[in-house]
Amino acid sequence: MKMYRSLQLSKQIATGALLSLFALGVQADSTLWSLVWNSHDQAKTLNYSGLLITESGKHSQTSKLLHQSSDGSEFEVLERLDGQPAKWIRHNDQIQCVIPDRKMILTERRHTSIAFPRVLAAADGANSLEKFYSISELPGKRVAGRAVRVLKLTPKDDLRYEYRLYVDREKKLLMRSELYSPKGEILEQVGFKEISFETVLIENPALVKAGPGWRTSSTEVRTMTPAELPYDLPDLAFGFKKADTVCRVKNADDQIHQTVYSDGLSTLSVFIQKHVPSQSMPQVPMSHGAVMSKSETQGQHMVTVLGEVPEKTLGLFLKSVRWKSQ
Amino acid sequence: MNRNEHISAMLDGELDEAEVQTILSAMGEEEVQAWESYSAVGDLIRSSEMASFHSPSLLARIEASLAEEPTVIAPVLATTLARKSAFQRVFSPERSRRLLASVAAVGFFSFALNQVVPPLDSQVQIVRTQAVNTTISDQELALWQEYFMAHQQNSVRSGLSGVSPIARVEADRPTINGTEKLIVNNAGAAEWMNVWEPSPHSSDPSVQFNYVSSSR
Repeated sequence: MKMYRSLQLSKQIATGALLSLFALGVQADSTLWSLVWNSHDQAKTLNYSGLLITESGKHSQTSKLLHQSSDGSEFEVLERLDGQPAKWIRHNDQIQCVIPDRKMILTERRHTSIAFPRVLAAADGANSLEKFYSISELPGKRVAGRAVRVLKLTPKDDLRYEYRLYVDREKKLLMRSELYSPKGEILEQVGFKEISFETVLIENPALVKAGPGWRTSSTEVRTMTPAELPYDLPDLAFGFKKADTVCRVKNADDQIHQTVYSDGLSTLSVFIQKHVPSQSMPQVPMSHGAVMSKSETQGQHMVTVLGEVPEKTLGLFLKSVRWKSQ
Repeated sequence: MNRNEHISAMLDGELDEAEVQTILSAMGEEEVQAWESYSAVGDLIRSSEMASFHSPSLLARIEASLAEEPTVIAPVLATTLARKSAFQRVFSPERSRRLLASVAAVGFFSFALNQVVPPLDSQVQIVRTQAVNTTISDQELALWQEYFMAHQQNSVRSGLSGVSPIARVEADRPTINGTEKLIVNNAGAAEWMNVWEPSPHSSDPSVQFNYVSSSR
């Protein structure tokens, strides 16, 4: 009897311990998630400059990044250090690409600014992330001379890749981001090699003015309404949420529609254009770093899905196009 | 199989020990050259750095024999290709396409075509999940890259550098007189690094463009 009682007691203790562990776990998770959201905001509000290395597949690229924020407006300059010189300048939603060798300035207006070290691909991606990824913390590391916490975001299905985010302990800024294949290989990584939070600020941040002999050019991107399109795409599919469909005009009869999907971290684009004999896509899946693509001819159109997602997801999206009359 | 095919098969590791011995002992002057060429072709495709280990005359021979084959060049690329040096042409994608048959399961293509907008990346990996005899043309690669860059603009990972994929094509169009607006306050291209010097004549931080390409 005594035996039984003590067994009962230990059972209760065990259950209690388990429950509290579970509660602790949930609490720990939400702390980790809030660190992710926090670092996304920090990327927009902090001033910093440093050296950035992007590695994608076998290719790597070094750039210099400067970010400053004042009175709610952001100014950012990214300068490529390898290969052909180029400089990208962003003033809130306006972006310029300066190519000195060709004396060219290209401009574009973007709705959102989503470049590293920002974390999220979409502003409202925050809610859905927890549904599709589980979060855990790995032992801390050092990146660019600073102590970081390492967060592991493991997908709950096989439709996306694993992310590892290295967040600065003190400044809560994302210092490094890695993308892993299911086999555990690094597909892509981007991170600071060197960073300073005491940067010399530019007093009157402004976009570039074209000098004599320089050419300026802007890309025309038009947002399409669903009624204009000969097809329907789901608003939400496999955890990916649809953003705008834009029309990229190459010339009068050569239009490419691009619909962007995102689950908050990963993005994919569905490209649809009229099938012309002179233009085709490689019939094999192509990949570059983490980005993979798959193409298919559907009726008179060519559909291509491209994104940093596994091949399975690309196939599912190819099947999700509903043609209005074909 | 003729002798050259034997040598090719040997390089690909398709022959067994005894066959390799037979070929090696029977190799003549001409076959040694063929061997060299095949090795060089393989090295070129695998790594451009390796090219320097081979003699210039060998590269010239490879180029000459490739030049005899019919080539399809995308109209946009024609001018770019014409401007390139002979050495660059050896590495250009339409060559590698034909050489692909002799490479292993994964091929690397170098994007020599995107000289206009600074290339985001110089290599694309073709993942082969199907039969090995697939070829990829220049046009296909060019279009793929256009898609790739359009996508990159919306990807967190690309940073700012995914801007304006279509401008690549546009940049090669002749400028239309009178539709281009130039603001003269920049001393010259050499000082482009100091571009954030604010204009004394303008209070508007944005740049307005009235350059529109003729086809729109």
